[in-house]
Amino acid sequence: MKFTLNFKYIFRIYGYIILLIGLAMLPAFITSWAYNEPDISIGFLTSGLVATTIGALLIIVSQPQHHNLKARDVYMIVGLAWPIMAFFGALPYIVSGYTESFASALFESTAGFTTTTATAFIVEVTPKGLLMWKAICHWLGGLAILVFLVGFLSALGSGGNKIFSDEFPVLTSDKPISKFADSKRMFYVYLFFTVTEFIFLSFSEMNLFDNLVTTMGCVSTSGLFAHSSGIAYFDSIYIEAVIIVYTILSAISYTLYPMIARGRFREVLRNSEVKTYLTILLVAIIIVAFNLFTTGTCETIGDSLRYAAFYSASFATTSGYNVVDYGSWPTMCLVTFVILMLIGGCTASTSGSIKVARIMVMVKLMTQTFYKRIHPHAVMDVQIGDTHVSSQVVARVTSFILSFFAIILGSSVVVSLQGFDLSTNLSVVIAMMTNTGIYLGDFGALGYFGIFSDGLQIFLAFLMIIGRLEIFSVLILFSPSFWHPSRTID
Amino acid sequence: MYLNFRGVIKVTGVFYVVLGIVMLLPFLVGIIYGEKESIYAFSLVAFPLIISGLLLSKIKPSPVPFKNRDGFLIVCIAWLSATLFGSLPFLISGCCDNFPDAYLEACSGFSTTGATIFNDVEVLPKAILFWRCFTHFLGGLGILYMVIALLPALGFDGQTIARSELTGPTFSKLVPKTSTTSRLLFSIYISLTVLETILLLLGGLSFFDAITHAFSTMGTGGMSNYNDSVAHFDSIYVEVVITVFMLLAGINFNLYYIAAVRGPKEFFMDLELRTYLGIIAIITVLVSVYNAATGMYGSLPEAIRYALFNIVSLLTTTGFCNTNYDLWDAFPLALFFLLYFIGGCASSTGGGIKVSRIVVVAKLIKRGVRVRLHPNAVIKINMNDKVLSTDTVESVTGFIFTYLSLIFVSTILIAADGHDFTTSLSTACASIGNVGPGFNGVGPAMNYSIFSGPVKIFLSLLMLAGRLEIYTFLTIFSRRFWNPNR
Repeated sequence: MKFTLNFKYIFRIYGYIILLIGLAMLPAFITSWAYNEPDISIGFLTSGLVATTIGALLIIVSQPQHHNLKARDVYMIVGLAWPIMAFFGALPYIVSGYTESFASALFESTAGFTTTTATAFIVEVTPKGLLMWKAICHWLGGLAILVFLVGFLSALGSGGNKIFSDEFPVLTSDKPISKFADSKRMFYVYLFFTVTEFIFLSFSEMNLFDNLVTTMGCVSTSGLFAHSSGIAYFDSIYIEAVIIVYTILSAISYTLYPMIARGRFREVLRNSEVKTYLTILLVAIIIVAFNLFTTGTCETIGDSLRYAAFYSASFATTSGYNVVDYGSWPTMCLVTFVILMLIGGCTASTSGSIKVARIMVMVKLMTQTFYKRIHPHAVMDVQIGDTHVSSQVVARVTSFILSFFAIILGSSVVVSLQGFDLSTNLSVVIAMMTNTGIYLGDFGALGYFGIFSDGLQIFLAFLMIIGRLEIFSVLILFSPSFWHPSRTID
Repeated sequence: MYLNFRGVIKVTGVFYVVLGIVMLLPFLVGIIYGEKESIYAFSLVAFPLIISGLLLSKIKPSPVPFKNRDGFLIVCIAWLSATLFGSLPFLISGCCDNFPDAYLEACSGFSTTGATIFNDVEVLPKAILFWRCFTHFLGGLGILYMVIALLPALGFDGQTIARSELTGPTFSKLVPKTSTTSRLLFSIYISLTVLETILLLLGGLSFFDAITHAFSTMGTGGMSNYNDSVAHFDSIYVEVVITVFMLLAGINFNLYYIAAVRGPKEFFMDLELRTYLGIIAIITVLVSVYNAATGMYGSLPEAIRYALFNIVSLLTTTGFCNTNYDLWDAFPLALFFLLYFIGGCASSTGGGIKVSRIVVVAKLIKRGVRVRLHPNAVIKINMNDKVLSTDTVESVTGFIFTYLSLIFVSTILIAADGHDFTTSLSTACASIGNVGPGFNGVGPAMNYSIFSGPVKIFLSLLMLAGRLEIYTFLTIFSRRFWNPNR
């Protein structure tokens, strides 16, 4: 069998992506023009034209002869989509002259599209146009995840389903997705959340710019703020509450929302992944609040609960919102946050990390192995809620989690070359892999990554993509058997 | 009867007798050095143990053979007893003024972790110093080893118990019979200890130092009679000897049998051994070159001296150090941190996750990539040309997940005690992996005195759990274990 890729189809998709990015620069251009930032405006104009042109050309030139996609095609599309988005998204930063480091521009753009809070620049002095662009990238990144990883399944036909359906143990009331219509519905839900949050936030003291930036960062669980001091800038419980609610909504499986719209409440309530997720969050809030209060970090119970809730939600949804500098917070809270980051949100949402459903499978596996020690001949299988999880899915979950930790450990060694201590290195890597963006250490609460060398910034950007695309979509492109004609499996 | 209580009690009795006899050795040391407190401390524990053990062993056993459950129970009782009784001398002699301190020292000893709560070990009586290292020697291969040999004479089969205490997964039967195995491994163990003692004597150490450090090395424990560990001797010869024997202690002991019977070629063909040596080589090269290049050490040989020793020490989970490496740069320390997640080889005295399990993980990750490319492929995992069953693979991953989860939970609890992130995390890893030193607050120049009483007890149990590969230890806490229907 010859090695073939449906190049025309692939390039056409890339074309659409690049075109979209070019067009998306328009609002950013308008923003920078409105705030009187001439260099930035020109940067957007130029980059926008370049992207739009290249995108349009690709679309016109690639006339796919057939629409059959194999596993390889899909991985090619998914694996390279984000690097392509990151590349074109980096153009405004460079072309406008705001930074001379392409590495930093790439880092910034990657953080944008992978819905990670991290930044290579100081937020307080970043031009409004670029901040708006970052927010747009976040929003598009969140959308892309919903459409790509979940929606693409249906476009592939039954054979393609297996590729990604095995990745997620549970999807919507434990039934897999099979209709393209569902991914359209998820887009509408995403839009709905965006619009409604915008409306809610307009009742707060935020101006239009802050509102847009916050909203786009919120529904994509990115965590972007236009101020270095984070949300402490507003000191408003209302704003914090809105953010908490919307990040959690976005961290829950989007596949559930169309069902609510259709009135199938009971199925939603039975979804064990969501229940587990909310329980974990609640337990974390209690632990953190308790710890904050008893160590005197917060003086009142009210304060303790307020900050505990905001921060726990920030980490559990992998948004990465910052309230105060938590560097001086008791370690127990910090460890809890790191664990929340590693667990992540629900499957089929915009949040990142390992995801609750996989953790649930892992826990079941642990208890089973335990039980088998006493009864070596017992036959058991893994169940989540009412669904049986097949051994293939269990194997996938296992290899995913093991790879996740292996990459974290290995990457912490690479990052250590910058000279920071162990807790900084580990939390930086975890922040990247889980697309959260804030880490422990002197600049951690700000999500500031300018302290890393250019080379490391590129490495970290790579980690963000690996985390966002759930590792294997990227790793596969590096595997020799991807590029060799498939004859035998060795 | 779902649990062979009579059998368990009888074996426990035999174990107590042996434990008491074994405690007569530090008692003798106390007499030799004329240490009154030590003599009191050990005799007050040893003799009652022997007597009560003799009484318990008189019980008439039921004819039912041992099941897995009985094995677990015996192992847990043995280890909990040994650590409890083993902590008494610390208290009676006055070296420790509270129970958590004494218990942690004893658990650290038997589990071959090597963490200590003493700020200054050099003022301790010789008998106590001897006991600390001797517990490493006993716990290294398994304290029940002494008993297993005696069991057939009493009409019991030692296999079930041996299986419960064995460290690491056994992917294939390397040697025919368990009884042959036990005796064989024990003699290898003793021979290597004796050999190391002699070599250390030749290096200029006193007999006391030589034998205690040999105990500590072969058990991969790491307790030393000196506050600065092996750096005290400042001798390249001593460090080389100890490095070699730490390395040997961390190898699968069954491989020695194979080398003797089937020749060295098969010995070196073992995948786990090659991975083990490979890890040591690669990390040593990376650390030495970095340290030499950044000027931490003046020359490459010097950098290698300080790299190799500590790397072998950490990988085999011994915990000796020849310098305070916590002062090094972040990069070598990050590499050291990796070692905490690997450990020694299976069926060695080393702790941790074990190299063979890490090899399985690597293969699983590689397979993960292939399977996603060919979703209908069925790819098997094999080890040394033998295919591993799904059950085996699942038990490996189950173990690793449990291990990691325990680390997370422990880190939170330690952090609640008021320690920084690096200290909390490295203590958790160092305890469950039976390594000993960690970073920051528990670095090579520090000790475990910084923890509160309850945390010390928790860490002690964590060390035991790690030594007994978690399940054996946690099983007795589960309801299912005690339920006769399951």
